[in-house]
Amino acid sequence: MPWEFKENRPIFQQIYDKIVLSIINGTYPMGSKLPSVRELAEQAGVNPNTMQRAMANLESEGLAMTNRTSGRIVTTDEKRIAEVKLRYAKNAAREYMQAMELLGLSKDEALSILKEVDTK
Amino acid sequence: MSENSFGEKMMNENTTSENKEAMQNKIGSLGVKLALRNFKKYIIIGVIIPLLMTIPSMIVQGEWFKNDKAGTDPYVKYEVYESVPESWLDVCEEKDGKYVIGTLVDWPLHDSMEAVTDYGFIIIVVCLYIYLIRDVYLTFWGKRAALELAVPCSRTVIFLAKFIPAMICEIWTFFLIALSDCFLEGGFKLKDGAIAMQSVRSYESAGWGYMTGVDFIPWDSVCLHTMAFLVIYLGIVFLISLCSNLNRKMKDPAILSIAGLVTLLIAALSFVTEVAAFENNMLILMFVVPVILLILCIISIRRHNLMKA
Amino acid sequence: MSELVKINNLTRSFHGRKVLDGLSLSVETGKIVGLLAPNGTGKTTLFRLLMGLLTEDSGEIRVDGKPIGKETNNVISYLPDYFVFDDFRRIKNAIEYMKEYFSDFDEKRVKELLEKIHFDENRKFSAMSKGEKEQVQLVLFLSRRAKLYLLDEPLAAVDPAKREFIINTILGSFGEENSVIISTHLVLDIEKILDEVIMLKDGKVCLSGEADVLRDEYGKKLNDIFKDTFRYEEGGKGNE
Repeated sequence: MPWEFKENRPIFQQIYDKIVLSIINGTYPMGSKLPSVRELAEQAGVNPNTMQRAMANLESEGLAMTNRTSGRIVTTDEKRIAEVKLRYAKNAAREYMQAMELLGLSKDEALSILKEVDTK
Repeated sequence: MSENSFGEKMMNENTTSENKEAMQNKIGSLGVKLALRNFKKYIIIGVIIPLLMTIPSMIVQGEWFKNDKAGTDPYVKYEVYESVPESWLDVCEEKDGKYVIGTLVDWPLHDSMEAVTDYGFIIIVVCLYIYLIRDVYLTFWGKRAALELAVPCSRTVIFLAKFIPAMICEIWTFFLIALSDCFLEGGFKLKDGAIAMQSVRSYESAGWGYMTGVDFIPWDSVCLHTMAFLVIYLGIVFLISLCSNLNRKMKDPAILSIAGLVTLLIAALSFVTEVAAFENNMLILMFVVPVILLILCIISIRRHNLMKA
Repeated sequence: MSELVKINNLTRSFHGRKVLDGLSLSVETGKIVGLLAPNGTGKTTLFRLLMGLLTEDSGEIRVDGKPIGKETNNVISYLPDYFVFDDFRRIKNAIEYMKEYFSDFDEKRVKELLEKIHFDENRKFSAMSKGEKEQVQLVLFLSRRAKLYLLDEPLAAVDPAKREFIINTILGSFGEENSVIISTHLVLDIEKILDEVIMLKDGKVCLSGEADVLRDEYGKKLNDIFKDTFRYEEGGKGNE
């Protein structure tokens, strides 16, 4: 199944986000080999160039590295992954708080709603 | 083997240069392949049907054959003329200032066979013209251009691969027309071991007149038809090509006027050279205009354009 | 990354009106480029010039460093926006033709693709709908291992359910050694696979750049950038 994108934002960024998510939640475990650009692009239904860019970003962010013999592997640096996880979590939280602000709710009200809501 | 950034393995340099050579060879023989392909396409309407159209005349020939006895043919009636018969293309023998024409009588089918052959061939020739010219048009200016001109072959070769099979089919048809005209007019005989044509245009007194070998085929009629075909086919191709180049800057009415003038020019030149050729008995003169048109066609096809931008 | 297509100051008129007016652009190898413009504004003209079906009034065109001719035709696979196999009876006749005259035709690939869409090669073209014919045609032209693919409105005649297949087929033929130029006015369906975008207006390039960079800059889908650019343009209806 091709991945879904919002075309009003750079697509390589969205691909990057999706792969990072997969790394954070363990779909691509630490130290495991990532599929080749071509394979992953085919899975996602995207242009390999775009996928390549996303992968290059992964490397520059320290979440993956290219090994000459075994291709691209996910980092084993737990700390780095935790950092990235936190960053994404904070972004999501920030978005939530912005949405609550638009509704005119205070920070305390926003927090109490948060405690009540289930993930669905 | 090296890998590109998509993770694909790439071929060695060696194999790609081998492929290149094989490709070059292939491009060279493409012209021949295209010509054969076109010929196969034309074969039914251009070779087989004309051949079938000679059947009525062969039936008539059969009648001549059956009644082949000198001077005792019940079916042939001879008429003597004092002056040259009307059609100056007729082959006609003369002695003592008299001309003789023989006709098959009391065989009602002869007229029908002649009519069928005449009209049949007219229809075939017209259809053949339309079919062949349409084929060139579609390939160079029509829907098939995107496919047929994408083939890695020079335009000149693609054009010749259409033109030459077309010419072969047309000449074959004209030859069959001439042949069936002969078949309708007289019988074949064996004279001194050679095939000869019993001319019906002969003297009563001298018995049957013979002409040997292939002299009996009116080759000048074949030449005339061929010249006409070349002028029409090449002329139309050239005109379309001309129009498609003119339509960069000019609007349609202007283009049509020029096309009209060029058509008249070609027609006039062809007529003049045809008359000159016959008067001076130089068949070569007839082909001056076709050769010029062929050169013009090849030149304009090399940088040809579709009609629409 | 080399320059696969280089066009410099290209001009082409028709009936005295300039369809392309000093157009310059370049396409590198290994890119999928969208040539976006409304109908009748010169996209097809550009493709025809690249294929040698038209000759330019002035300007330069180079494909793979060479001028347009039989050598460039050999490395370009051009998919027109109408059906060209009228002359052919069955799919397998078309396959034979492609195999015979295009040395880079990959018969194995075409058979795999036809199987994917459940088209038997003995099927007659006369028994197919317009959309089906276009699909087969696309599959045939994308089975050539060409350096440059010119696709003229590949999605137009195909219903939305089949468009994913078309996009995947395009991606399957694409690699670092070749490029694809897709000419279309249906931007929405195709934009996610484009590396770069070139928009034509008044016979020239009016906007071009990398797809993601443009998305970032404008904060919009390419389709919306397209709509904004051509909002008051009705597409030159009078030029043909």
